[in-house]
Amino acid sequence: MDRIRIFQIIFLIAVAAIVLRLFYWQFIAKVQGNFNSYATEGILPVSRGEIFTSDGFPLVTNQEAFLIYAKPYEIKNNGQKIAQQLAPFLISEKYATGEAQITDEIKRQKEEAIKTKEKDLQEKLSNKNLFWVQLARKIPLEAKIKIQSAKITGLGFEKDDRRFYPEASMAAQLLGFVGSDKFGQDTGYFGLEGYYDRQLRGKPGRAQQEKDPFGFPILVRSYRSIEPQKGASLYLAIDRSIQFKVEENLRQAVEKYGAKDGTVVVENPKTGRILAMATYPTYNPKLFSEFDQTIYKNPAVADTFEPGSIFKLITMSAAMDLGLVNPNTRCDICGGPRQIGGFEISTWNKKYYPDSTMTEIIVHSDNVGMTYVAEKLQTDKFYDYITKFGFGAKTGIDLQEESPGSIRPKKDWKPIDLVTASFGQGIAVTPIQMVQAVSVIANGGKLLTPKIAYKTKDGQKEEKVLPDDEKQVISPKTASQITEMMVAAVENGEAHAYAPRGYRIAGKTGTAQIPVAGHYDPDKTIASFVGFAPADDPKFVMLVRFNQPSSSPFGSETAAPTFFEIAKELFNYFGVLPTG
Amino acid sequence: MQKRNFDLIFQPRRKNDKNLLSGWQSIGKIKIRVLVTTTVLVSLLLVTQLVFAASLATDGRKLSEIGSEIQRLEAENTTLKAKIAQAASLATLSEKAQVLGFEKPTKVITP
Repeated sequence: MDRIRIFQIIFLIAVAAIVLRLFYWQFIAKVQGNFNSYATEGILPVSRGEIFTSDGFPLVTNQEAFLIYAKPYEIKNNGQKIAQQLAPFLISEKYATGEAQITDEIKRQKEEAIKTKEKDLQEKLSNKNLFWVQLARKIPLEAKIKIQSAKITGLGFEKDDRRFYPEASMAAQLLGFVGSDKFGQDTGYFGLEGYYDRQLRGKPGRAQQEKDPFGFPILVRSYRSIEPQKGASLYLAIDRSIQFKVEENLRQAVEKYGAKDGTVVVENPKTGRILAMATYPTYNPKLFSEFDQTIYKNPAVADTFEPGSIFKLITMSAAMDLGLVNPNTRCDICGGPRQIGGFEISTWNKKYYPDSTMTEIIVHSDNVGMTYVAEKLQTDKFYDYITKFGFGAKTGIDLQEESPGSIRPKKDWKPIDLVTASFGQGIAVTPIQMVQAVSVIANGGKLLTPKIAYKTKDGQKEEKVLPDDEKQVISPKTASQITEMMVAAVENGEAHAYAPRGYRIAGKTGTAQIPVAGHYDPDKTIASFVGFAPADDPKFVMLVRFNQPSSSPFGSETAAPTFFEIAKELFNYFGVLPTG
Repeated sequence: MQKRNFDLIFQPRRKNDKNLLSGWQSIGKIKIRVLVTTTVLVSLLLVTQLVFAASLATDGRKLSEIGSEIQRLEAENTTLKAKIAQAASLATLSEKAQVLGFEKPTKVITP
């Protein structure tokens, strides 16, 4: 055999060896389940949209956080030591305060939480059948850095951004929170996060790419990808300064009056935009799981209550709009208590004012006087006006948990129901319905849907959040007459001592008993005050409501002073000068 | 016409090999040019592809680095935005204002 032939054989063997090796890598190694396949398809995470107040401040934004996982098969022994190392970083963030600042009780709870976490982690790490196990979600960057510095084998991190609240618990019930759904996906619950969840969550992307053995993308290969679409941002009408002032005043007032809880809503009556909505006690949306679930719902839209005397404004508006009474009409049955359907109807202080005018009935918050008005109206007309003012149906506010309230069907109304409803007992409304109804009076008789957001912004595309078409509920004349009655109620009513001098404020106090097991509890009340100012050119409509105040059961001694305190700050904020 | 013997191509050149010379000559001058040109072109294309492939491999590395840098900057941006927002929160400002002796306005001041 000559040299050429030998060379040919060697050449052919070399080529065959290369082909066989390539075949092995391309097919055999891949088929045998090598996880380092160079083609990767992954979900591209997307950031949730932010929520801004009217001054462009991020009330809710995102913060870098991580999911920590382990590969138990890579971990030697049963993972006890690793569990001990990790546990302090993976317990609730409520224990994150510096050691020096926490009490002995909290210290004990923290130690207990660490022990429980250790046990849980060890259980997960000792299961060698698991290829991948999630240890914790949304751990902060600082914790990740500390864990990484411990150089533990078999641990890994994935990007898992979380919500961040620069103003801490401000407007918590209004915002709602972000939790996980049954698939582990971030989902908004309650409030704005719940209502606008679809817009805020965005669309995660997908990427398919081939990589070389060093992990670098192979550009000559074609790959398909779907770009992630960041969630739309939400711009609110909520004024951060007003919200701050309202929350501060509300917290002080709830503590001062010993109320179970309190709610304040401030709205611009000309646009229907909500300027502030506060509830106390509140919760920290960042640590929502640490709080009682009953606190999640926003009472301003989800709670129903018997409004009491503030509802007299609605009854009076209906009767005056129909021309059945006018501000000077005199009540000829107001000299004493009345018996209707087996029940005695009396005034709240047992004082009676014979021949009161309609204005005086509002000023004295006279229940007997309201029976006179109700009987002029009759059920059909009264019911129609209640519906026209928006009671018994959702207002359409952009919050997830809104309740429609509860108004008994018209056919079930008896004479006593007509009479009690005229002064706000026997019907259930939500605070936002009450604000919407009083805004009708402040807005010349026109009803507007209350809205919290004014626009959504998705990239460069902006979409305005518009209220529904406005409806004329009562005439501008009636609205003006009721306004004057409300001004008289503030200037001459029970709460006149608290009203700031020099401002024309339209308002009405309310004290409603709470129905418990079929009867009204004499000691439990809902105290409220609703009004707007300045009366001739309202900048705001406000409702203050306290649930079961213990220092005094009356709205005139609890809700009204709070209303006036907040109003004073709002006059300063809006630059409204005193006129008198 | 002479019989072509391509096996001879792989044979070492032997002096005065009449058969070989006559075989090549039988292809003709034009055909030899075409063969050489094609070979050169194919070689050039192969070299170009190699150069591009090498270049793309480098670009893949660069792309990966740029991707990591984008991710790092985005994460840093998110962290900084959160820090700025927290520093500018009303709760923080109100606390600082109180420490510095500021008080709430009690009268309306208009320009």
